[in-house]
Amino acid sequence: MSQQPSELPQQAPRHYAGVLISAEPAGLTEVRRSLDAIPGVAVHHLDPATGRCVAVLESADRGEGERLFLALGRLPHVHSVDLVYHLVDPEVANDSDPSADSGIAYPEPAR
Amino acid sequence: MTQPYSRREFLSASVAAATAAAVGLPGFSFADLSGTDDPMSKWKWDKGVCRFCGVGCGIEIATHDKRVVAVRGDAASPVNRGLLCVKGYANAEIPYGADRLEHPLLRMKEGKFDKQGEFAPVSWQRAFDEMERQWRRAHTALGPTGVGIMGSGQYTIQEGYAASKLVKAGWRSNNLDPNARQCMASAVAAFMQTFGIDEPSGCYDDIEATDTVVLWGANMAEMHPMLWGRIVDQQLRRESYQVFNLTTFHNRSSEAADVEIVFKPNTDLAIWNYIAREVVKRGAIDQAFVDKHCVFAAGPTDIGYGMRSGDKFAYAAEKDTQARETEIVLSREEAVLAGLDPHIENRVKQASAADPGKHWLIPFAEFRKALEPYTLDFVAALAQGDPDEPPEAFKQKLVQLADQYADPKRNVVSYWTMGFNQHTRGTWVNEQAYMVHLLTGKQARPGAGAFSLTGQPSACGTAREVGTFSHRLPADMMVDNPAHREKAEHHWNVPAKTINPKIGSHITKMMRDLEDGSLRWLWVQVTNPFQSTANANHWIHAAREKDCFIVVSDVYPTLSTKVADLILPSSIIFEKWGAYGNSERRTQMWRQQIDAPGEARTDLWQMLEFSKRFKLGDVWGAQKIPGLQADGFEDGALPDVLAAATALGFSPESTLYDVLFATAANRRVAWPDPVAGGHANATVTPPGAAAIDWFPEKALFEEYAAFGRGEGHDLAPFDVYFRDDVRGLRWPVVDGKETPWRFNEAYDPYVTKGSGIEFYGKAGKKLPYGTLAAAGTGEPVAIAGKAKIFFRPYAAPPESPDATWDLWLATGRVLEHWHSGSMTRRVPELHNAMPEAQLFMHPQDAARRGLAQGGLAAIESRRGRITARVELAGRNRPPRGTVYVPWFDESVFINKVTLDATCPISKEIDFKKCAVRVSQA
Repeated sequence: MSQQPSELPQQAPRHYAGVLISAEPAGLTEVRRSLDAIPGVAVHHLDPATGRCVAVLESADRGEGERLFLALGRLPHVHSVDLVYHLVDPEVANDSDPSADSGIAYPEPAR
Repeated sequence: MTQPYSRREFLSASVAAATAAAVGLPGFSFADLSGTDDPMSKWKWDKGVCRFCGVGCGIEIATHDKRVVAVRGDAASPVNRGLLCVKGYANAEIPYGADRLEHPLLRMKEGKFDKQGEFAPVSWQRAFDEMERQWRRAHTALGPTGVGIMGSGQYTIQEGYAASKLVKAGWRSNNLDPNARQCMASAVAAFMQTFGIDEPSGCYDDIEATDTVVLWGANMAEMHPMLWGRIVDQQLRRESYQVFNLTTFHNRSSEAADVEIVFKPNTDLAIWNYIAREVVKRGAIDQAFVDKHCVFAAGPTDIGYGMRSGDKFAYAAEKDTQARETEIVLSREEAVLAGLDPHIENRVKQASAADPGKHWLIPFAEFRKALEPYTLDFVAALAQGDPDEPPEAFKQKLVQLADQYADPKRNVVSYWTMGFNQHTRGTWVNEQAYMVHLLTGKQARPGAGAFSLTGQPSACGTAREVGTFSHRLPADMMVDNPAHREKAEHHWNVPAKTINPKIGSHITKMMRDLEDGSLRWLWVQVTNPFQSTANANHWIHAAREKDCFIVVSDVYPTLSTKVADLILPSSIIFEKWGAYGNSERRTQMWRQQIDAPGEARTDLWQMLEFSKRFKLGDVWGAQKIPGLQADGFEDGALPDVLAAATALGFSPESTLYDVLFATAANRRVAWPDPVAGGHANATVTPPGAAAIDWFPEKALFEEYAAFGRGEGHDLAPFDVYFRDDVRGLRWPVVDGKETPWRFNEAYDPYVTKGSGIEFYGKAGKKLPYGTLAAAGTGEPVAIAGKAKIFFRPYAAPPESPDATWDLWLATGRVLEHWHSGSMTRRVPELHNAMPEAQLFMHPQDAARRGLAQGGLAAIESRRGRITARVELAGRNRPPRGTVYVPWFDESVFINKVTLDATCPISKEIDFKKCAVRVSQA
């Protein structure tokens, strides 16, 4: 079964992103260590020969997932991070997700 | 059934397994989850395309219970091969934001429309009633040019086509222009002038086929990550693979590049001429290629900067810059290059501003002579962008760059985006790329070519190919060309002289028209122009304070909806059927997957419904068109074509909907259609609307495709794009076969057999010979099948830093800011994301102004002032003398500061350079 994140987010995750991390093979152990320390990141597969790693990013909202994704790209030894699969759990409410909000207030529609 | 794992564990493991399988990594499999109650087994998958940039990545979308529940990279897509960048995240959830627009909103006071009123929800009927009333008011006062639509490179192909037909054939106004004007109009103009036909000869396969990639003003690492990933992959695999990054500041692409060249704004024009001079000097011209396939050309240089010619509406501080539209004093370097004494004041009237695109042929000897002043020493001194770099090091890098192009054994691809296109000499600098590629024969072959990358998902497919520009008709045709109008009128089955021969207002001019009162009704669709147009203070005040009516159709509130009078709620990508065309000519389609919320409607439905409100008698009588002068037309007027319309079987009572859209042929394209496979179509009979009982997306696509078939723009039949074995097709698609490289006999069926290479575009292929300084006056010479190698000189920008405004400002995007997500639940260990757009500047420039990292700075130009936080160590690191601010954050509204100068040929704004000062806020 998958490895659990070292510190789980308090809110149930709604977003699960399967990502491919490509790193220098020699630095893969260090990359793994860094990933294990990041809340919301679970490493599932490592390929030491090619320096590739599959991880799942769990987040309560899309913005947090995106920031995690971008942050992984800045880790030492990481060449690239690609999104392969993005699942949004329909059973977890998104009433806290402000990702797409513009901050511009409009009146509630009244019929 | 037992559930050995929590739902969360199950979903996480499933996503991991699917990801590993997609990328070919061994390990965990779905079989390990046997015995679990699999919620994913009920999901329905379909193919689609990513909503968010011009790369055109293939995706697959999963829906369940009328919701998008997952998106994955399409492993079968040749573009992205199953991978996506961070933008891929948004596809699954973009429909579900909390402040989604779901109802029409009209500014009201006491139950009536009032421009100073507050937004209140209204019915579609009420919204269209007011929209129509205001349209008629503007049309009565000003004629067809008093109304217009701002469209988008995010329009679907069908939406763009409907807009073009409605505005050009229906309303007889050519005031339709897309935000793509600000994205790649310079590329379009250069393609047309160089090749006589639009869009790249090459394709993304060039990345693997080339030896050298040169980025010219394209930060691909951030803006086109999936293509950048393919480049980096080659770089890691092949020692000889070289990547050069030419830029005005250090950026993310510099980090992986083998060579970074930081140059001063606008001096890319000089660098290209240095490279061309080297090619000529070293004898590196591919003479056989040039002799057989090319001619040399030049044009006027006194073409202005696309600003207004008068200063009636200019702020006092703007007037000195504005005056340069009519007369300039040459810079020292411009004087030297022109052979003038640089120690005296050389004033030059911008006499060719009215006809900047004019050009003529020149002999090779003239071309060679023009390159002579662009020596390494001269260009290095002019172009060095980082004052702290040793000059010899900069020179050495220019030589290395020239080596790449001059080496006959190396394939080279040059990529560019906004750095070239948003440039007061954008058309020229595009043409200079072709100059060097054509001189060296590195064009239209696998791995060799100059390639303009686009920023929006259908800037190519819709804005360019459909012709949603104010000067265009479908398939590269022009409104000011009588033969093209005739052809379009024939295709559209409308009377001769229906189409207005006067080019309409481009998007920046429409803003100026709002300010000067010559445009009073504007519909904005799928774009946010009041944020994205330079010198924005003028346009926001015009929209709110002038006698005009602004309609904005959008999915979410934006700055443009804020200044609107009427907001219409639109469907977003997977709530409708659609088609996009990406940068490599690949047309891709998708089916509707989900329903739109509330009363949101497709943009296509909005146009079709609104067209029902106009009768031919309203629009096809005689019309005044200020300034119109064209053969066969009375000055300033379009003729009454109602009698001719009657002869076609219409009456003055026929609606534009019946004449333009619900034609007999289109009505035969029935809905439902087997290609739908059970998917819905929100354009057809949405609740409460009068029936549209045919299949508009299919009918309009086929109608549009008829323009290009047999003309080098062939698209496949609609249904083909939905086949399981098709992941988009690169046009021209002939006999079911796509074309990866155009103009090359091995790949392109339009090339005459036996000719090898043929630049068969038809526009501008008969020109007289002249000299560098003077247009030809002799008999025009036919140059069919050939491309033009232009000489274009270095030109200084209309505004450069001086004692008062002492810094260059460049604007652009950063990856995090393609939307303004708010910061929740930060990850402190890794926090690098930006909560707001920042002012990137050099530490010494900051220190001189008493600014520190994170401090609040004021950025001020002749046009406006904003504040932003200082960033000294971000991924964008400007050299001393330059600052950089992303434009995408509404709270850091940098377009209040930028200058609305454009390339005079393409009319695309130069967002990359103006003069500012920075101080503590």
